[in-house]
Amino acid sequence: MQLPKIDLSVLPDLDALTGMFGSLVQSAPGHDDSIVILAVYLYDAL
Amino acid sequence: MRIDPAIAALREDRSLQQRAQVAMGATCTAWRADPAVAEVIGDIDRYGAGAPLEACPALEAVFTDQVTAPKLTEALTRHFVPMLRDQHFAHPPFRHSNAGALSTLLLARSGRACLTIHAREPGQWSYDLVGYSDALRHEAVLAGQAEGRILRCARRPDGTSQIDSETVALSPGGRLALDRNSETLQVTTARVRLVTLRLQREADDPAPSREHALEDGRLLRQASGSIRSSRQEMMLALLGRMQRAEAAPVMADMACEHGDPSLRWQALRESLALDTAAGFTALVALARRSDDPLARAAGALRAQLVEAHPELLALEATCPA
Repeated sequence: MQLPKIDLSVLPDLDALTGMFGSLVQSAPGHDDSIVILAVYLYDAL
Repeated sequence: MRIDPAIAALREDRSLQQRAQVAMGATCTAWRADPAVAEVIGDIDRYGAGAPLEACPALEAVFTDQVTAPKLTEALTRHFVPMLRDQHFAHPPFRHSNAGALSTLLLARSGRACLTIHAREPGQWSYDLVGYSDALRHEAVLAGQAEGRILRCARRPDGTSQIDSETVALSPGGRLALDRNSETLQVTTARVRLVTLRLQREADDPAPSREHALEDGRLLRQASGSIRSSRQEMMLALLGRMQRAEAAPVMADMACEHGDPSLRWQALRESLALDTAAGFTALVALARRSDDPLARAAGALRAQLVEAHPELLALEATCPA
């Protein structure tokens, strides 16, 4: 069966996009603990 | 350039720093064995593995009574301050950060739980946004004087969000328990440096973190609540850009498994772009699942692709019912 090649750019995202972990704007220091969790994760993974 | 003699001595004799770190390691071991600390750290292992706080009596006491939290931090200063007085350049074994007015020290971590100390310098803060994340937080105020508000997010019947505010005074002895998925604390004024002990446990399968406009509760942004899920999403994107077609069947399987809808949708997109047959078969399967949160989006994408490429109808006819 000959199938078309589909380009990623024509495939839509979901209506509500979800950013990467920790990608929310930090409105103030201590807004949440993402930065601590990221630091711990990177330290453990590297 | 002036180099302090103490720094110069370290540069000349590296064993000085090594000895300082050995001493710091011994101090940390003694601190962890201190009666005020050992049981709490043991409980963090249980709590981080999912046990309820009530099943972790030493840890629960820190965030309910008035004496256990000060004892815990008193042990910290009793062990580490004399040590740092002797060894100025020893590195404390706690991960730490400093961001403007806020300093954080990670005392212990196990599984999904973290025990941290936060210090907030005096100041005033105003906010346009309020953030929520899928975690439980307990907070004990150790020192300082501050004011803040607890912002509770409730979902209205029409699906929009409403934010209610409760003003709170933060002073030594204060204890808070927050379900961070719907409650958050914002400090608005700190008159005296505010020091708190914070226990946070992420949900096992965390929902996305959210950011709402304070003014009207509008959802402005959301981000994955799971670092693992974001890591997998980046891996998917990398394999896609590398044109690794052999990964497409695995991606198609991921799209059909239980899990984060955002991650599954990216797996579906990448599998379609790498291998039309594998991706489209997964797309059809998803579109046929009435109870799947991705079913509607999958149905719309299936229709879009079939319209653009009618030959896909022949492939659909071969998909298992």
